[in-house]
Amino acid sequence: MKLRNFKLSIFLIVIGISGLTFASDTESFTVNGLKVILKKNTSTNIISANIYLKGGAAVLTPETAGIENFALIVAQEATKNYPKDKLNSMLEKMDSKIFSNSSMDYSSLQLTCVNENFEASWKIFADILLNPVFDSSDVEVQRAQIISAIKQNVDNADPYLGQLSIDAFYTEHPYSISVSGTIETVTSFTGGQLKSYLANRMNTSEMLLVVVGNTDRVEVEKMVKASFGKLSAGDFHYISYPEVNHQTPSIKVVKRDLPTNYIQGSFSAPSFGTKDFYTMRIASSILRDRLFQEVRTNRGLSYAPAAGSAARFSNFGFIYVTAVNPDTTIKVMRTEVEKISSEKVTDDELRNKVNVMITQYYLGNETNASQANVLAAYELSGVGFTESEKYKEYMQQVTLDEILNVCKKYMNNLQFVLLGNPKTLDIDTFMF
Amino acid sequence: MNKINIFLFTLLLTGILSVNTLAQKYDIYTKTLDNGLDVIVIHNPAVPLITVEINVKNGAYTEPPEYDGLSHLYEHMFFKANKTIPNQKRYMERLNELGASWNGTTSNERVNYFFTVPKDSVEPAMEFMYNAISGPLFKQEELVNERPVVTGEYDRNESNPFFHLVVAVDKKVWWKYYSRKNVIGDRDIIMTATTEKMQTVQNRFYIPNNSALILSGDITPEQGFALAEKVFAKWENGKDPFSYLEIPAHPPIQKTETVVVEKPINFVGLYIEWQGPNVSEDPGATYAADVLSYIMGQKTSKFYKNIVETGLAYGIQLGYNTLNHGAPITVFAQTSPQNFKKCVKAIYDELNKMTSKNYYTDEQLESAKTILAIDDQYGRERPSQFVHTVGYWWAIAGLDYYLNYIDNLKKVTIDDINDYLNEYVIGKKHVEGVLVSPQVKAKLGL
Repeated sequence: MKLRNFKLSIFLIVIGISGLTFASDTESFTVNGLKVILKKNTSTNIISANIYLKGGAAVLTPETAGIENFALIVAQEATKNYPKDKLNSMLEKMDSKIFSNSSMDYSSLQLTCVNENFEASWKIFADILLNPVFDSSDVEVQRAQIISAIKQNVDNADPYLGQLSIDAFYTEHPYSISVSGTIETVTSFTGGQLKSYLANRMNTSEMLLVVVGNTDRVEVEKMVKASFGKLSAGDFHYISYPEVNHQTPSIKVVKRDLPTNYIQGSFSAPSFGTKDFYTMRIASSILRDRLFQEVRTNRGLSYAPAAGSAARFSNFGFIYVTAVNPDTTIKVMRTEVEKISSEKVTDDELRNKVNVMITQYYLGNETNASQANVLAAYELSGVGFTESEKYKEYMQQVTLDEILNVCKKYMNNLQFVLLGNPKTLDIDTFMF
Repeated sequence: MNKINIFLFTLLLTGILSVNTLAQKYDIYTKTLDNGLDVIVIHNPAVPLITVEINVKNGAYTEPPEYDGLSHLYEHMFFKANKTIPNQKRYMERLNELGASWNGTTSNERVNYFFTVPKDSVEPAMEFMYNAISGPLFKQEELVNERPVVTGEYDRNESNPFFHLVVAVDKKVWWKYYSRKNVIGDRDIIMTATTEKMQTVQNRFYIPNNSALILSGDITPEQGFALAEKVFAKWENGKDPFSYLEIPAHPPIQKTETVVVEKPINFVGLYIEWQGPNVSEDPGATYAADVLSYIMGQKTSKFYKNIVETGLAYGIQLGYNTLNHGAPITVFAQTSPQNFKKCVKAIYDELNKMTSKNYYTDEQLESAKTILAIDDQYGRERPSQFVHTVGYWWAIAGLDYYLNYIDNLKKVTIDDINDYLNEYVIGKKHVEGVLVSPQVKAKLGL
């Protein structure tokens, strides 16, 4: 009996910690116009603090494609208060990680460090945004690396297919502007342009800060005020991206001698955070399972059949495969797309898939950095960060009819790209 | 009484823990079942999930030429019919019923399988894992269907220009027993694989005394060990495969040479490989290797500054892959055609200077150790991924190697690093691979 009581105590403690850790306190507040989302997580010694710059591709033009990405990369090289060697040496000593990322929807500068180094790391992090020096030698080294990365993207089949698919799908859309830039635009930017571009983005209404870790509001407010308290608020307005709606199917073939053919068909999908977004996530994942069964398990036609939907503010779904015989393989995939768009999935399929996706949701929230990114995505999309806590609930509410309807509505007029050199190609097979 | 004290007291009371202070420090607990199965529990309740992972000492290193790639094919066959599941369709349905996120990987010296499930499903997930690991059927029709799937994976690898570069260099470095380094395998061997060969792999390697079960996530060691005993104690052990199978040592590289691989690419890739220390033979050198790699990976290092900041390379990485049967030391760089020759010269110049006084400072040495230690904390933040790290170390070097890893890194001195460089790198035979387009090859006279 005594042992059982001990076991019960341990069980309750563990459950308590688990609950506290995941559904921990999340609050938001504003400091000088800068919205801050703070999620307290006491179970780890690691803190993540990310600044997001709103707008993504929509704040770029064909001439400025890639400028934000480029500016954020060079800004990390040296700042007024942290010359190059000092900056690198301090980050190394603390093993604090700072890096930037630019997506179609927003850019970010991200910091991950251990608690005891948060304050010192934050000062460097803030100085990167506020006082970057843009030394000409740093600009040139980073320019060469970015251009090399753009070229290498073309050399590797999967990233190149991804890029080609985006280009084919988002025509006449803000996303058609590359956030990484083109060789021409990246070549054209001067250090001065990069510096003034980033300085002009330093308005608190254009930014969002998300902090996840074992810290508190008082500390964060103090740090934010000290760093960003004097910035102007600016006048940034939320940008709503249009859904893509192709009226006809298409295929673009890019010839390349490869051992197999890389194929992606993209279709319009509900925008991130909407009710149908959750439905499409489930539907496309069920489709993925069926493709795995029919294409890989039953017929051995491919190692990598897939389907899914992205998480963009203006969204797309896709089917994907690498196959030596594209016609045969796409016929099988087409049958499955048509089936899921005309017949209800089973109760078991839906219930089990929801369970799997909830597991994947937790997997996507294991680290403080990933939790920060999830909160930011919900906030920046316009639905609000509190919606992120309702993921499970929304997934569990999806019905069989909703799955059928979302497939009917969206899984058509696929925009295919084929990278490879197939022996035969029946274009009609791809027209659905 | 705080949580930890209650927790440990209870574990001692129930007598199920082989308590080890290092294990406590990392929240990693171990036990060996009577059948020889090592059970490792990693306690991390950050999210309400548990990963159930089996690691097996198998992989390319166990493959003579006639088995080249069959560890990997076996890994595919693991996800098919077994004594309780009639076919792969039902197998996948069951994984979905469990809410599982799943996968398997094959590498040089380890094969692992893992299901991450909601914590309430851990017991059925373990039952499922037990049936899959102990009772695969290798149905002929499933094997026949799976062969082209694996060669499809091969096709994808071959679509990547770097794959060809690494293969070309590996074939020279591990020249005598290349099949034991070739994880993806040989197409012909894969396409002619039989169920008998699959059974041979199973009988040799898929026994509890050659495996580790790791439970990672929202589970206590008490719960984990009890479930492991309940589910896996019935798994019958076998003869230690390494008591009767010879794993031949890779002979030294025959000569220093350059291999050129032509692919239509927009840059020049450089890949240099040496034979480094095997962890069981020279563990001290493995710590020195890791610390050196981290020093040179930092932006303050002369290696980085003189090669990347000068614009000679877009990126450079000095690395060491801890293994027990042929551990490579590698330099990988990407450069432009115009800088290629200068870049190659600079890399060798820098390597040759690494043992000279003041090439790196005491501060950089200490920073590298800090980085390795804190990176370990970052790694442990993700229990579903950390489980793979722990499994890797268990298979390659034993869990104690990992548990003592940070402490041993702290002991590394400049002399240790110099010994490592002199023993394995400077002036030692190596193979240099160059990945270029045919046009650039002609222009550079390669």
